[in-house]
Amino acid sequence: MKKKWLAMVLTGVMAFGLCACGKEAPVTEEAAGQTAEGQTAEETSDKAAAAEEGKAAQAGDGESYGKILFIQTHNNNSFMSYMGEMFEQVAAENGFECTHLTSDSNEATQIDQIEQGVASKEYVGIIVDCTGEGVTQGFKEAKEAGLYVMTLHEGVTDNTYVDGIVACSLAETGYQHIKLEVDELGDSFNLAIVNGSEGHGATVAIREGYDRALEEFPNINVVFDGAGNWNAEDAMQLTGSWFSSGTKIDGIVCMNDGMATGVRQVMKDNGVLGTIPIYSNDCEQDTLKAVEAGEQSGSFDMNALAQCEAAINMMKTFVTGGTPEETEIYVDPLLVTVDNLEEYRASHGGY
Amino acid sequence: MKKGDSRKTRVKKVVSRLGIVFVLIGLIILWSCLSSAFFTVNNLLLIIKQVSIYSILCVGMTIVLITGGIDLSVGSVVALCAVFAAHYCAGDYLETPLIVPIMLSIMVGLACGAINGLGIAFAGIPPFIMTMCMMLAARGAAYVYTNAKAIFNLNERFVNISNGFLGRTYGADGILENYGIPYMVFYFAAAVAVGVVLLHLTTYGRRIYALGGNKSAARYSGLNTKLLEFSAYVVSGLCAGICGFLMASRISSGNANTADGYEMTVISAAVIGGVSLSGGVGTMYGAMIGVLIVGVIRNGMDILGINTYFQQILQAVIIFVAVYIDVRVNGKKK
Repeated sequence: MKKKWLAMVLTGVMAFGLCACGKEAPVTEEAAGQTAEGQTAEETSDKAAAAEEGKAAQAGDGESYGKILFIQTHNNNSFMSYMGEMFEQVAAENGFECTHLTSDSNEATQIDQIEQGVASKEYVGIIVDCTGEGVTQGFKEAKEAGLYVMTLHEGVTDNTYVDGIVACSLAETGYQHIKLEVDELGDSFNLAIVNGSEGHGATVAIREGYDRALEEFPNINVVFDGAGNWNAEDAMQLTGSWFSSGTKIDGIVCMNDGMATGVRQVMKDNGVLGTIPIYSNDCEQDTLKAVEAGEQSGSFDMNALAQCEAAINMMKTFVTGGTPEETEIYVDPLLVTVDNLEEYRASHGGY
Repeated sequence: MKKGDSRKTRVKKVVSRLGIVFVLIGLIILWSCLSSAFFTVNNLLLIIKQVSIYSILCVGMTIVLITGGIDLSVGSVVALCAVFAAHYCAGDYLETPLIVPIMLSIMVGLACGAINGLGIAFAGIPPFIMTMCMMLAARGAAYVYTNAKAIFNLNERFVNISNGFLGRTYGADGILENYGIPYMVFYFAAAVAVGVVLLHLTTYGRRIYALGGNKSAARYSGLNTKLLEFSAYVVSGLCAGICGFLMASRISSGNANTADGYEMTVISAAVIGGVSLSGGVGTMYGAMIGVLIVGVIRNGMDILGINTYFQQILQAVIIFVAVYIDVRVNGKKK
């Protein structure tokens, strides 16, 4: 019995301890004061609304534009981590207090997080890097509660409840991957395609670009087409089988750098590293080194900083009662090859 | 409690039985202290809404676990049922009566559960292996069925099944005035009620305990243990079927990668709630408290802006502690 209670106490301590891992304490002095006074939930809601009005008033002074919720689909690769960091930085520089969550690539989790943001009545707006079409339900909730809703990086098809869209066209990067292969190899060659996780929003978007390019260049022979599930291990397993089959592969396109890392390892094992052009997305450090070494042809940067700046500026316009000149902003992807690598590194602080 | 028990012993027994409730209350107090946004009516209703699908799955999983089995396939079966349901209320089937996708989802879930049950109870395949095969097959079938593309633009009435509210009102400017009670809260209440009645107030429930407690003894006492074991997996499949259409409605789409890892969340919720992986021990209400604990932890950490990956660490620690207690306490009893 003592052990049982000890375990329960330890669980509580663990929960409390993990709270310290939060990036910021969301409890304002005002809110803490309200709780201490023992007010009801309804009274707290009224005060929260008043706080919102206060924030709006403050916005005129350029001090604070209120609190925003930023939800990323995941941040388990260096591009997404970089984007998360950039967003927090840009938000802080522009007078927004920001809560940053990730959804572990789970649509239902993302809806839950949006609804929690709405229920908390703490936010003036939400900006979501969408996991899938289902988050539209969360957007509906947010709009009904009077919040500004924006999508960043990954959007949804149905934008009924979306005030603003900022993205870098993933479909365009997909198209460019194959177009660049054509530029190097001509319009008739054997192509292998390494996709992200099946059904994932980014996979579908990039695939759209691949399909468009394949329609435009019908002589390209797609010899292999499989899912590397966004990670190096799965991509290695997949392409390892492809290379061992003996089928000639002239060019490879990967939907992200994580998978390209695995593909390069397989190419190295098969003695063909640097002889087959390979393009991917994200400009991760490992890939940039490979580009520098001539092991990969290029990678597309989704221009995280430009996306974040555009999103925050648009949100600022909404919060201050203005109307943005554009409510759909598509930032150009940036191709990084050995030709512009140093310039790119210099402009990204060595990233 | 026996008549002769001392007061101290009686208090100990009550505390032992309600310990998990105290953990839940402790967590609620903890989060409430850390964020004023946590302890509001809307947020508490939201927590129940968020765990309602888990709670339905947990009814089936608890029954399976009490028989001494395990069902690893529930997440994948939910995905398979969800894509079937979504398909039959979108596109060419947009105006199909809602009963069609709902019944189809339930039938697919029942079929998956029946296959699991047949393999385990009658073919003697270990539950871990049989349900793992179903997990792979159902997920693969969902991808094949959808060609790995999400099905969306579902019938609005279908979407409303999981996303509707009772008593929700709007102001003249269209802004939400009264949050209302999510329909999912009622589904949660129904799951708890049905689960408790089925497991604790029926002969069937007592037989499930008998089977999990000692399979040989149950057989010698005249119970049809194979049929009972089979039925447990059918119930689990039924629950997954119900969750399939609820999930499609909740995310207003049919996506083959949905509900990934749900089996682990549900198993951990049941274990946290005192259900023994060795079988024969545990209660439905305990499992439901476990579900609420999982929901409260997630909600509180999200409100505090704590990364999802930290939540996974905490969940792992809690499962470890719960299983450790299970091994120490229930292991001794057995």
